[in-house]
This record gives sequence, C-alpha cells and structure tokens, in this order.
Amino acid sequence: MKITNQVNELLQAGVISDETAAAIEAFYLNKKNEQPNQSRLIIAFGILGATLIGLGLILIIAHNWDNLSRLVKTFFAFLPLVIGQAFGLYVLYRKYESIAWREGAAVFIFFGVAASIAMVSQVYNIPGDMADFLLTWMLLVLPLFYLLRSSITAMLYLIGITTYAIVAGYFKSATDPVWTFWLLLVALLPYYYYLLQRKPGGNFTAFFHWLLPASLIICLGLFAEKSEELMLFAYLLLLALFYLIGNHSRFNALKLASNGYLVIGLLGSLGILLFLSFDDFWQSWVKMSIVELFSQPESLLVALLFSLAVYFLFLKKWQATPLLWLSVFVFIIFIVGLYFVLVPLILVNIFYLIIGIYYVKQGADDDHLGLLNFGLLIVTSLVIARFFDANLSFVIRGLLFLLVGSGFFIANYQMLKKRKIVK
Amino acid sequence: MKKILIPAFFVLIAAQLYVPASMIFEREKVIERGEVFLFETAPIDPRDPFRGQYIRLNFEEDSYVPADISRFEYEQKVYVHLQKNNDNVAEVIGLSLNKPTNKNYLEVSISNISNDRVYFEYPFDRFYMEETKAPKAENALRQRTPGQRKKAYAKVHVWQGNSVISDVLIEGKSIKAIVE
Repeated sequence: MKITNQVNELLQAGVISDETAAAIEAFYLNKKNEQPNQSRLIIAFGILGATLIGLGLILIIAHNWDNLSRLVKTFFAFLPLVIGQAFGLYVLYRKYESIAWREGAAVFIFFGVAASIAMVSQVYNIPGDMADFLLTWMLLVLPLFYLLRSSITAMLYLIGITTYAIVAGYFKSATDPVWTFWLLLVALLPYYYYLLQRKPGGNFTAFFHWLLPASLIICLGLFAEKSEELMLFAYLLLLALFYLIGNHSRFNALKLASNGYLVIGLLGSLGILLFLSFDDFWQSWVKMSIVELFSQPESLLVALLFSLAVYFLFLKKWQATPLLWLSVFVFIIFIVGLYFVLVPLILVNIFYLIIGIYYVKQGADDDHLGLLNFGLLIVTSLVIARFFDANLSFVIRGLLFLLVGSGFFIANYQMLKKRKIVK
Repeated sequence: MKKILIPAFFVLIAAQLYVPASMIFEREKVIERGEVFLFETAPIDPRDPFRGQYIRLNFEEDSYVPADISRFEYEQKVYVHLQKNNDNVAEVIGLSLNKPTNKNYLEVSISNISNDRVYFEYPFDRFYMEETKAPKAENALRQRTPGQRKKAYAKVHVWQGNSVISDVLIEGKSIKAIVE
C-alpha cells in the first residue's frame, strides 16, 4: 500500500513518531473498511446502463411499427415495464443492500412507465399533450425513489416535474401557477431531507443542491400575473434566500462546486442588482403607490419570500458577514424608490460597488487571488454597465476604465509581491 | 421495514400497470361499440419526442352556427351532435351545453367565437405513423393540384362522447397503404 511506504519514509526521517505512524495507518485501514464493497464505478455503470436501455426502448417505440398488430404492440407496451418491475421485486427481496441494483432497477422502471404510456398513446392515437403525458408519468414513478431509495430517480423526477411546469405553465396562454407542480415538488422534499441527514457530503446530495434552486428559479415565474416590478423583487428575494441557505452552517463547509445555493444566489443577485443600477426599472417603479403595490397578487409571494429570508437571516446558523447585514438596506432602497428615481439609483450603484470592494478586500486579507479578481470583476461589470449609460461624458467613462484597469494590475501585482516577501 | 416496502411496491406495480391498461380498455370499448364517422381533414406532420412521428389533423367541419350564440364562451366544454350523410361523412347538426340522449355526440372545447359562428377543437388531432412513412404521407397529400383536390378523411369511432381515430383515408384508401 502506498500510504504505508510514505508513513515508513516519514518515520525513518524522524518527521513523525511511532505513535503517529500507527495512528495514520489505523486511520486509513479503517477508512478502507468503512467503504461499502460497492465501488462508485459499478453504481455509475448500473445507472448508465439502465438509462441507456430505457431511452433506447423509448426511441425504438417511437419508430411506430405499423406492421405489427394492435395485440402485439400492446404486448410490447407492457414488456419493458414488467421486466423492470420484476427487477424491482428481485432487488427488494434479495439485493436491497446494493446501491447499484437499487438505482439500476428504479431507473429501468422509470423509463419503462414512459415507454408503456407512449406506446398505448400511439396505438390508439390518444391526443393528450406533453403536459398530461409528463404528469401521468411523474405521478406513477413518484413512490419509486422512496421504495427503492434511488437518488437518481429522484433527480430525474425533479427534472421531469420542472419540465412539466414549463410546458403546462409557460407554453399555455392561461396564467396559472401550476399548483400540481408545487404539490409534486413538496412530495420530493422528504427524500431531499433524508439525503441531507444521511449523506450530507454525497455526490447525489450535491446534485440536488444545484437542481433544486435551479428548478425553483425557473418555476417562480409561474406566479407572475400583472406586475413585472414586483416579480423582480420576488426573484431578488428568492436569490437572497438561496445565498443565506448557502451560508447556513450545514452548507458552508461544502466545496463551492457542491454549494449550488451559494453560487446561484450570489451570481443571480449580482445580476439583478446590476440590472437595477440602470434607471429603467426605477422609472416604472416610482409610478407605483404603496396601496397599489399591496393590491397586486404578487405581493403575497413577495411577503412570503421576505419573511423566509428574514427568518434565515436571524437563524444565525451562518457566519455573519457585514455584507449580509448591509443587504437589508436593499429593502429600504425599494421603499425609497417609490418616491424618488435618482436616490435608489445612486444607492444601488454604491451598494454594488461596496460588494465589489468587499471581495477585493477579502481576497487581499486572505491572500486569495480568486476572490480578489472576483471583486475586481464585479467592479468592472459596474463600469461596463455605466459605459452604456449615455448621460455620462466620454471623458468620465474613459477615466473610469483607466482607473479600473490599473486597479486590476496594481492589486494583482501587490498581492504577488507580498507573497514573495512572505516566502 | 421490508414488511411495508414489498406490499407498497406491489401497489405501485398495480398502479403502473393499471394506467396504460385502462387507457387500452377505454379505447377498445369505443372501437367495439361506437359508430364510424368520416371527418374531412388536411393533415400536416410534426413529431413528439417520446411518441414519435404523427400527422396532425385539421378538420374542415370544425364550426357551427347555433341559434343562441350568447350561451357559449371561449374554452367552454360543449357537446357536438353528429349525423352521417350517405357517404358516412360526419355533419354537425347541433351544439349543446348538456349531454344529448343519443350516443352520437362528442365532447369538445370551444377554440374561437366569431360573428355568429362557434369554432371548436375535436378531442382527436393526431394520427401516429412509422417515422419513415409520416413525411411521405404528408408529401402525398401536398402533391394534389388545386383543381383536383384529393379528399382525405379521418376514420373515427364515436361512442357516448368518447372517440378513437383508427385510420386516415385518402380517396377511400388507407394512408398506410398509399405510402408503402
């Protein structure tokens, strides 16, 4: 074993004591035993195999075999589903401990259900649109991930219901928040909670940290009825909520790549703030009165998201940063914006600039080039945004660019120089 | 744990089999008991990612002039009363908000109301075909010259408001036979 060789080397060089060497070896031995006898590769192949076979069957079915009689077609409509279900039973009786078997069988049934409904619709030319098809499919596979504890099926289900919401909500003329979608989403939450409790560092759990906020952002727009301005506020609140969740003690230990809440929340809010640094939004916002605002149907949504965000803000299970406290002022900016245009505009620009400078300072303090340049990028984006505002003179814009450009150069140079001196 | 899981899984299996099976039984009943109507149609050909190639059917007889138009509104569910002429082609003879007493009717939704005419959408609008045949079928229909228009009909089984489309006929021949 590689590690024992290295431990021996360190022992001989006198870097570590006998005790430490024994402890290190015991640690790695334990870790090896802890891992169940199922390598990740086998699980991945199991899932991939079942997915490919399932999709392959659907494509073959979509060919529409005209020469086959109705009876034969019906037989083939049920065949993949029944095979999948038989696998499922076998897993339940004999192989329940194996993740690869559980995931594989569940995925196979997942696609088997789609294949059988699709085939029957074809044989009888059943008109039902895409939304109905997806809804029936998702309802029939919903218990699957609870019974077979299959995370990949749960993920496919989340993608499926999100697609359903898009097709049923955005592609139809009627304004409808698609309540069925929100119910289907609630039905998934116990499984997500189970993943959070049992496998906080798992790969599937990390996928969910991305898929769930992405799905929520996509589907929030289903609530839009009349007021675009209030919806923008709702989006900002949802993104703030994601950022707060991403900073919660449960999440902030995760790698950045696993913390979808933090990344989506931060980049999303920056994007919206940048949009708010233009006067378009404030020109139409100022025309609203408080009474009018509360009479809009979207105000209920905003109130709900706002209370959730405040709840998370005072939960204190995250590391408080000055930036988070400052973000409370965004709310005040919106209220001021009901009476003035210029004041909120200037405040948003300053706030955005502070965020940029905050990250530059963090990067400098922690000796972290990534953070430093992230902060500089924020400042640059603000400068570029102002570049498009025609009411600034060319000279001022030119000077701004020179300033930020030299800022990039000086900041990076200083940091690298500091590192050299430390060495 | 398994004492709950396994019975629950059997319930799930039953549900997963019941849904497609009930779709089949409903349609078989209509085909067996229903009356056959022909609807004049102009097909076009889109594709569905899960269910493959189908031809989309636009029907000529898709509107009616009722006596009292004020009773009808957009997206409302109404009943279309049908009657056959000597060539088995369907004619709309009435529109009502209540279920008729005879069996030759369809439930449709109103798609448009203009002047004194009510337009509606039939519950059957697609006919699935083998992927290589569907575009050919569409071409066969498009090649008709303006003067001598080929007549295309959808063969539909109608029974107590339900319907199943079983074939598309061009000049009396099945569309599947024509493109072969």
